[in-house]
Amino acid sequence: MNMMDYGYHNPWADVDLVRREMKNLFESLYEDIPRERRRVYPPVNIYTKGQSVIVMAELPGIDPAGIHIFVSDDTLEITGTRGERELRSGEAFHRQERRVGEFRRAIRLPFMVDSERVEAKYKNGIIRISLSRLESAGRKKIEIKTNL
Amino acid sequence: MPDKNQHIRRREAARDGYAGDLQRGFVPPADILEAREKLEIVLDLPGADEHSIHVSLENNILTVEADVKPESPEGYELVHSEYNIGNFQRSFTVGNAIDPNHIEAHFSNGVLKLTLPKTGHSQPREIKVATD
Repeated sequence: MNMMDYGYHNPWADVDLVRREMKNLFESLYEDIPRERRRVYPPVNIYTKGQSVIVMAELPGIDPAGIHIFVSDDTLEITGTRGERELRSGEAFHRQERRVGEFRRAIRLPFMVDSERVEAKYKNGIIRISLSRLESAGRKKIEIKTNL
Repeated sequence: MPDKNQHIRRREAARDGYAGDLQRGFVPPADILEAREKLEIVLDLPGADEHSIHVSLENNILTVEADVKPESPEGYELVHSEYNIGNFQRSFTVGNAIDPNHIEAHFSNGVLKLTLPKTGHSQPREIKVATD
């Protein structure tokens, strides 16, 4: 996506605006919590080409049927639960670094998304979500009439 | 001339779980569970596939390595990044109680599960108390 489409402002800088604000607010309170646990989950990489966006997220160990993806207006939402291994009698964890529990991640895109053209694939613990800009929300060239 | 930013990069590397020059890749998060008859080690290796994972045991050091090819969508430009893509490596010291010939590995949905059975000696035995 060309930066000129949006003027001087980088729209991708706002993707996690809320997260950053919350982080500043709470960071000091949670200094002793291991980073892996307080980090926003799942981590995403965002790629663009023209009017298309691909959001990739690391979600290892989740049954794809348990990952829910919603799109509305300009927001992509990924929710689900990462199950915990239940301990049987005589079993104990020596180390438990992998994150478990419910997650919810909302990502604001710098345009309205065409909800009819969203595709998601899951492979080897990475989900790949392809999104397109809603046609009507795109830029339209207006012809200037002369000789009125 | 010393690299002024070296310590910053080290810190960033540590934050991202990347061991930099010390090891060959990112350090994946792991769960280690012990049961009576076995140890279970579970590692998150997103982006790896079963053919790229190598598990070895030498001198009581269990090493897991996974090669991950950078897979950016063709023709696309990365505009926002929260995770890095690269190889994984992590080692664990396991005691003599592990039977090296019967370690099992199973990979599914980006997660590697290793099952390490204990040798017969270390399984709990009930000792009978004898009387005269």
